[in-house]
Amino acid sequence: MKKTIPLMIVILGGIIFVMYAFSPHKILQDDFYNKFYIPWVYASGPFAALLGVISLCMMHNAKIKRRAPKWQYSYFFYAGFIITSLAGFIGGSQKGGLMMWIFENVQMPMSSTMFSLLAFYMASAAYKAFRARSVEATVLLVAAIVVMLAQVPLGVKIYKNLPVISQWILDVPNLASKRGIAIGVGLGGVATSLKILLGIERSYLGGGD
Amino acid sequence: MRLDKRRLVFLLLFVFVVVSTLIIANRQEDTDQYVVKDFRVEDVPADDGSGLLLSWKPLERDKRIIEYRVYRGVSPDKLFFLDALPVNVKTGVAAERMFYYDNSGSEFIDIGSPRKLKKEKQQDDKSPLYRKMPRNIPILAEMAGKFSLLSMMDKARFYHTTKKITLDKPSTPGPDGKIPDEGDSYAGLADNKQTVICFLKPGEKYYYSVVAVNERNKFQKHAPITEGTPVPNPPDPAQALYSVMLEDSRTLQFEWDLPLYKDDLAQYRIHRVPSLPDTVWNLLRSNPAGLQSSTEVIAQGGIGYGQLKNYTTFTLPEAAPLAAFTEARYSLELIDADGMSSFSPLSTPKLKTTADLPPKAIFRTEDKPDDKGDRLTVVWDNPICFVVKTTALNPKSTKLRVNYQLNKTETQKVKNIYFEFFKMGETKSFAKLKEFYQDNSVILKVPTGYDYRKGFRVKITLEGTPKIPADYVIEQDLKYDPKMLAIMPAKALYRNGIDVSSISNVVYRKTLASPNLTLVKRNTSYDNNLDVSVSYSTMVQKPVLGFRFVKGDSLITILNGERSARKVKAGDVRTAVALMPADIDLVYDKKNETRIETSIFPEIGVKQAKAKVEELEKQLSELNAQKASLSDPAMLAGLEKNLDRIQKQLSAYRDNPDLKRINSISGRRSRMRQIAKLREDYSRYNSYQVVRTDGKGLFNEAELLKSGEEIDYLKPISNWFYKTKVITLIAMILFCLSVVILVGMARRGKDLYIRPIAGLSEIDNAVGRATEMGRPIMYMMGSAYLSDVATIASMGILGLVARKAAEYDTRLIVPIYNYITMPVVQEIVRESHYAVGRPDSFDKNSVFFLTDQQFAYVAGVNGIMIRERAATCFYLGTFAAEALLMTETGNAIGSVQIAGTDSSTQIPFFITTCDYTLIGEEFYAASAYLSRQPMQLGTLKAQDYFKLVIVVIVLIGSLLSSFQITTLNEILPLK
Repeated sequence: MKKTIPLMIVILGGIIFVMYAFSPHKILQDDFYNKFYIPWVYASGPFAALLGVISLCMMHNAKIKRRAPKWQYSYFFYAGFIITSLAGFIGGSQKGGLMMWIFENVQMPMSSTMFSLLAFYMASAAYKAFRARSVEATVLLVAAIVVMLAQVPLGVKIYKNLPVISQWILDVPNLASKRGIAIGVGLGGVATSLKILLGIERSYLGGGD
Repeated sequence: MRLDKRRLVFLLLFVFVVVSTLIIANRQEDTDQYVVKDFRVEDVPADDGSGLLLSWKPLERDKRIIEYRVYRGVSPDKLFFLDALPVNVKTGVAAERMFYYDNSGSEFIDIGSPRKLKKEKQQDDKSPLYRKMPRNIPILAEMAGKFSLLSMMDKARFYHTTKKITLDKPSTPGPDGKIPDEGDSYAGLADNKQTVICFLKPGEKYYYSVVAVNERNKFQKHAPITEGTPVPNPPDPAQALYSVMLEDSRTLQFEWDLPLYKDDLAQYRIHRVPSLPDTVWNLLRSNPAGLQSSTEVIAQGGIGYGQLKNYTTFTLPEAAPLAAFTEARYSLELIDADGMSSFSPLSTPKLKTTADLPPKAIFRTEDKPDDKGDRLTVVWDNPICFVVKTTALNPKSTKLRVNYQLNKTETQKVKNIYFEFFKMGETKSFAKLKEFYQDNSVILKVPTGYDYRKGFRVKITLEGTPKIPADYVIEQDLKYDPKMLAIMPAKALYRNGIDVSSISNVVYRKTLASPNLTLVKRNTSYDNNLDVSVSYSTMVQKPVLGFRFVKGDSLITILNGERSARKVKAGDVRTAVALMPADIDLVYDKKNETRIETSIFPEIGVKQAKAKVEELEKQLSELNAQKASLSDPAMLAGLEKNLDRIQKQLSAYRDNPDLKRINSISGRRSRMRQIAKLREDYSRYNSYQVVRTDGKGLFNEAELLKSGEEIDYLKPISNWFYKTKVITLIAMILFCLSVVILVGMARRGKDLYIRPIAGLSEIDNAVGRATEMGRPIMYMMGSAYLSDVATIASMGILGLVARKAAEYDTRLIVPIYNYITMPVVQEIVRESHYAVGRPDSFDKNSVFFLTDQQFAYVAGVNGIMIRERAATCFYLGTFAAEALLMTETGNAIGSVQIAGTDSSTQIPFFITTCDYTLIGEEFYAASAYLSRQPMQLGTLKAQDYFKLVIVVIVLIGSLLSSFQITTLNEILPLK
């Protein structure tokens, strides 16, 4: 019963969405989707967010209680959480308020810092990938050099047709493999959806059966 | 670090400096407030007296202003927030003055307004500035007389939620000399169930101010409170009047361009004026009252606030000499709703014949396929194909990509497009191209030795269904454009040899209940159809006539500006409500050409119908009595017309079956359900007309579509099935069938081979490694939502990983990106622990929501990874830029990493940094591979076979396309 009812809800929801995908009728597009489904999604969102916040607080609370490694950082979570919440609740979330100031001057720079690290990690990953240890890796290296050089003026100086070759690499072998993956992903997605719809895939209900 | 005396002093000093700086800066700012200068409130010219124009000099850029807030009130002591004009803080306002038009509806009652009267932020007690008008009927009712109010509400609210408010029995007799049994009834609706929009009233005084707000959200001092009064003005004259005399049919055709503000234009008149110089006319027309006697009105009609037709015709009287009309000049008088008018400059008629008119449009109206029933298509031509641009494909421009556009409806199918290219001035084509697969471009090889800059002529013919006539030819000149440095199409578009580029196809609509046609859209000659929206009724609009509310023990009613009060009695509605008419249109009686109205309250509806019949019968008998005494034929004809109209109304209200049926239902809800069905249905019937015009008096009007004498009205139909998705449905059914067959085979014990997937085989080892090392496992599910298939697939794998981890008593940490996913994931992990008999080892805090900010999530995950020294990391789901940041960190701490994703852009990063990667479909196969259940394996196998079918279809399609057979391409959906 504990699994049957959720399963029935999932199957019923799935069938309705299959109908929604195949039917443009007003009952499905307007009455079901716009007037029923979307408002419920919006209405349930804040409750789920509340659950998320409670979970995060509990996790940090447990860390502090257990004196887990680097437990002191959990206080930073509480400090950030309380300050940002108060800034939002008291001063509002509009531009010019404290919350937006925190967002623009604390969160954005930190996010940008994390993002900028990506460049170094990419270089490191590229080094690993382009080490010409096999024929495949060598092909990869050559293709990468051609594509990268074609992006800069120096590449055209070296050989005027480099952008054409680069575009060919991107349009033909690269796109072919991407489409191959896309077909696989698409079919996998359909198969997974179908498995859920037919009740074959139940592991998402927990326990794996 | 120890806090000794020296450090304490230093710290206190530091705090003192910071606090003093902040206080000084704050005070400095207080003394340096910026007030908006030269604030003016003026009447909007040429309007109906419902608009005021506010203007002021904006503050300099260095004041860092982010917005100007406009406040309005009906008295100078209370101004409410009206609107905010955002300003780019970096660029400021470049213009000398800023303008704000208060001439459209603004919120009077809105769900977002405060419940009580609330002072604006940072304002002292003396400040007249308040936030938005409060959503509080007792306060608003006092101001309501200064505005025209319109309520907008969800139709269900009006149908079912409105309260019946009946006024007290009047003490004075009504127009019929009798004292009615009870007062009038209105529909009352509470403030939280509607939005009321207010419009300025002509002649009323309004007070305004403007406040600048800087980027620190600091409100500056408000501009001096300035009053303004909107007044009705004469309309602007028509921008142009075009007149054409069709000599052969002795018809004058007039067409005009309306001025910019046309919302109050009610009527037009065409005046015949003796031939006068423009200077004299300009003097004369500045005094319209004196003009009436010196001109002759030859045509007149309605403008309908700019929605009705902007053209008319006048047939010359038989005896009138043609010269009297060709030598005269004409002016258009525009008359607004207040009766004020303006005259256009004089127009001299051009002499033409009917042969010069654009051909009459042959059009049809059809239901748009595959929609929810809210669109119709008006089609007036075959599919139209034309060149939009060309691009040189090599430096010498010997090869050109010619981009074309094909305009057609969903029901028109074009099989082939034929392009013939000619050198300029030659009649023999040098290239003939057949476009069998329409990808909006063809490649043209320029003949050797021909200078492409001389240009080309292209002739386009089409083949398709419904059958396109063989003589239907579109031609264009392609000329070298020195600015674009490319061959571009010239302006002219020849359709069967006639340049149609300046001809518009104007679509007008006629509803069932209206005698007039209203403008839908002006279309160019490059369009052959128009999708017209016929939306479903969702809202009801009603004028607000007054308010009723309880204050203390008094019941106060304010209606049409009159206030009355009495003690509250038992049975009175105590909720504060806005009052609006309870009438609603029911149906259009086609036979009697009458729109029937009823009340939303059943008993009033019945009474109203009865009273209406009695009133019409009385009118009819009075008119019949008058008829006997009339002898003048003109007056008699007028009376007959009136009699006929009243007789029809009487028949409609007495005999209409729908009205009878509705009035026989006593329950409000069921009656309203029937009313809604009837009124929402008839209002969606429309008929259309297409008018071809050059915009300068040469127009040709097609007839309305008719069946016999009856006009054809069409209503869009809500379709149950997307016809374009037939193949998708068949494919889905085939896939389902193959799943069922293979699952059955697997159940019967047939061994289904699945190729080994290294990443999945290693999951056991990876979990085992973490157990041996005594370190946790981390599982990242990606950044997609719960509704994403990748997340659900990942949940399937998580269930199995969690089970293994629980069996080996290894800690599993799952930081969640999306909070909606979190409870589901917690449940999966909990169930896995229970399934292997280890409920004690389940720690709810190991599955937690981290954040839904991309890089904050990375920072969190990386921190946990390093602190906990995770032995194994799984990345299964949809990932973006965060993938590499996490996997590189995992790599650095020596974790075994298994990744799987459907994000093709992240696969290379996973391959380079992880030990095992599941690419695309392998990720979706993981659940089946790990569980080895026959049902799952059957699905996986079906997936593989279906992939084979797709590959075969791709190969066949490629082969057929190579031989110009595109049937397969056409039947397969694009997306």
